[in-house]
Amino acid sequence: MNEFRYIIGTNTSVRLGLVFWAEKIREYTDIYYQGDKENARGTDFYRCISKLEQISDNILEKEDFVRSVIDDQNLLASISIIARTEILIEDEFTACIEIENISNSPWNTIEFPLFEKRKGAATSLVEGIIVESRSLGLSDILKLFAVPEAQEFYQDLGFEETNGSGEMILSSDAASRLLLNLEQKRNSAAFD
Amino acid sequence: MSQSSSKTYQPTPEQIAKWKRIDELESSCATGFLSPEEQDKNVEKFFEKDYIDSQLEKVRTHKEKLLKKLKSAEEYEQLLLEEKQKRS
Repeated sequence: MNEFRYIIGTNTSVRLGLVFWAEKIREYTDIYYQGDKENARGTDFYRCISKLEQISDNILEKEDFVRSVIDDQNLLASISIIARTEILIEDEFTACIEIENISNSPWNTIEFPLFEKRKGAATSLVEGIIVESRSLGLSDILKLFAVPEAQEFYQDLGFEETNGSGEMILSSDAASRLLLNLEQKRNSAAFD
Repeated sequence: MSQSSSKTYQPTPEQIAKWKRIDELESSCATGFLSPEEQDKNVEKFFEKDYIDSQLEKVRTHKEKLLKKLKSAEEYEQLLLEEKQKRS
């Protein structure tokens, strides 16, 4: 199982990581999409380009809310911007963390085999957010708006759809199950 | 202790299948609502300019904003110090 280093806020690795992502996006567009971004439309890679732009637009204002993971090659593998918010559960406002934006690295979203690929980055990032929040005594309930293509992934992690809008919630119990599952995965030799 | 000897958990076939599926699905993990038009606009913007140049522009605008805030805080600090002096 691949291991990742969880980063709170922005540092040199994160900033240089985003510059490297941008460089790789141009390179992959040339190699795999004949230098035309239109050929990538509708792919996870295309969504990654859009997310990189969106995250780069917000990173300076929200640098305290940036969370990311770095892989064993010391490359930025996944990044997110989180927010502390509230959700209505059984007529009561409950504190939670919203994952506003998350994106995997370009090499983790492209369908072609690349040596930089490391599976498990986004899962590890979600795990890090839960662990961080618990260690601070804050709510470990997570909320996000998953794009339609991402809903199955988040369902498998334990998120539940709330109202058909793409809003998904990971309850505290589901967060515990996810952490246990990842611990079991780490303690098994099945993915070595 | 070697790494393999510490890995004692025996997953069920269902767990292995689920873990594999999560790994496969992970490339689609994007969150945050964006209409197709907004998505296209972001992609367009990304390719319009060199990334470093575009970030430099953003960093300079941000820096300018922070300097203005700092100036305002310093002015306020000075005003309070003067008021304090007047009253003492």
